[in-house]
Amino acid sequence: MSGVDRRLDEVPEEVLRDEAARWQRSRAGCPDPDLLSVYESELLEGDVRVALAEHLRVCPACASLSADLAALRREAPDALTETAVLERVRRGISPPSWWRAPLAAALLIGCGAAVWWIARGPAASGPPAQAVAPAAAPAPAGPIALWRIEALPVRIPLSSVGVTRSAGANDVSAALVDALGPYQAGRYADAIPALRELAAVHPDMADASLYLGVSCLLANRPQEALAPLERARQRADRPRLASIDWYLAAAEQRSGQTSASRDRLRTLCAAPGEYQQRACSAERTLR
Amino acid sequence: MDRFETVYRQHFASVLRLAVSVVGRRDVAEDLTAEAFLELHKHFERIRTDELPAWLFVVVRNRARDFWRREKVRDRHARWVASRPEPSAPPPAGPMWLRSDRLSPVQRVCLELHYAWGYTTEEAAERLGLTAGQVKGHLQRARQLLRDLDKEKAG
Repeated sequence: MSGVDRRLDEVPEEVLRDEAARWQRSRAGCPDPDLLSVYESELLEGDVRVALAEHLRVCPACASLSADLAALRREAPDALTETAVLERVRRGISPPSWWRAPLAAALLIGCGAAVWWIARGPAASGPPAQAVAPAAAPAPAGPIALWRIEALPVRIPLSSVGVTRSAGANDVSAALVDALGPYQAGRYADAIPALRELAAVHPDMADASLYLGVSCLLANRPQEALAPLERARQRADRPRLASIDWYLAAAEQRSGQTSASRDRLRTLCAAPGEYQQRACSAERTLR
Repeated sequence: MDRFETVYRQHFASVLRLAVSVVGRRDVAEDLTAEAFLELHKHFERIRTDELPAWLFVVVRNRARDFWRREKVRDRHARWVASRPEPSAPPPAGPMWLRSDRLSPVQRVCLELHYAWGYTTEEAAERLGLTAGQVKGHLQRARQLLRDLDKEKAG
């Protein structure tokens, strides 16, 4: 091995990164691993197959990666995968993990905020806190998507549930909590009418619009999700904007507005924050 | 075990293998497989046993075509074909550690996806049908093997 490799003992991570980065810069013309992994696909276009075959003949690195990927594709699936997919089928339809995780987190944080708000308000109004927030709700049902951006868990920061801390704020909070009932149970389509009504009565209530948008998205009605999410974006506090943009990007992608989705993801990707990495990844997938 | 589950276990592996061969990515292939069996579940009483697994294969192929169309996979491929350099200018073979026979295919793939292509462990995991923890484990073992190999050569 080279002198660079000899430093593996000292700083293996950095050495691997440096070496790989230098190597990668010289491979600008190589196909990415997603393309290499469909080399044997019956859907691959003839001209692309020919171009790939030509490239693999002269590029030992890609030939090696392609062979390794093919070996992995031929491996029999393990029992865990078999059971996991069966479980998805049994549940009827389940959302892909990159939506399930954010939603579970959103629900948890949203309900937590609701409980906090109600607990701080006048004692007589609003439902009891324990009726609101089961912390460990089961993974909700939703559509299977053919496409996933990523499976990283995310959270939606929920700064407040009510509109203001005015006299009617607790009633509004209680109404939101009620409207979120079906949502909590994973019945997103059932949650839509009440959330829509709430968002119409309280247009400044960003959370009603946000949950309405996310419910539409998970009920596989992405086009209906666009307007409420846009409205939520106009009214939400600054810390929430990245979360809303993340869902908007998904709604746009699922509505066929790939270009708008990509632009939004690019903006998220350029901004340091918890969404940066996954947005960059998603944007790369859309390219 | 009900009849549907029996049929599922009988055909799952072949359906997933077909899906992987068509779309490449394991995460997408698992989605397609789930969709195919879900479709089967809806029409289970009408489908004859001797129509399987061909019936499932048709669903997978149709959904895979939808996926390619929706994700504009063909456009991405066309862009690569248009922008690739002449085959007469091959890129360098790459560091030896990526082609070491001491490493298993999955270790080499994890190393290359993570270090050379910059995929996060989660992104690599999705494509390979692994968990992020498993990818981290493969990377760790691969680094250890490379260190051992280096010591052997030095000694």
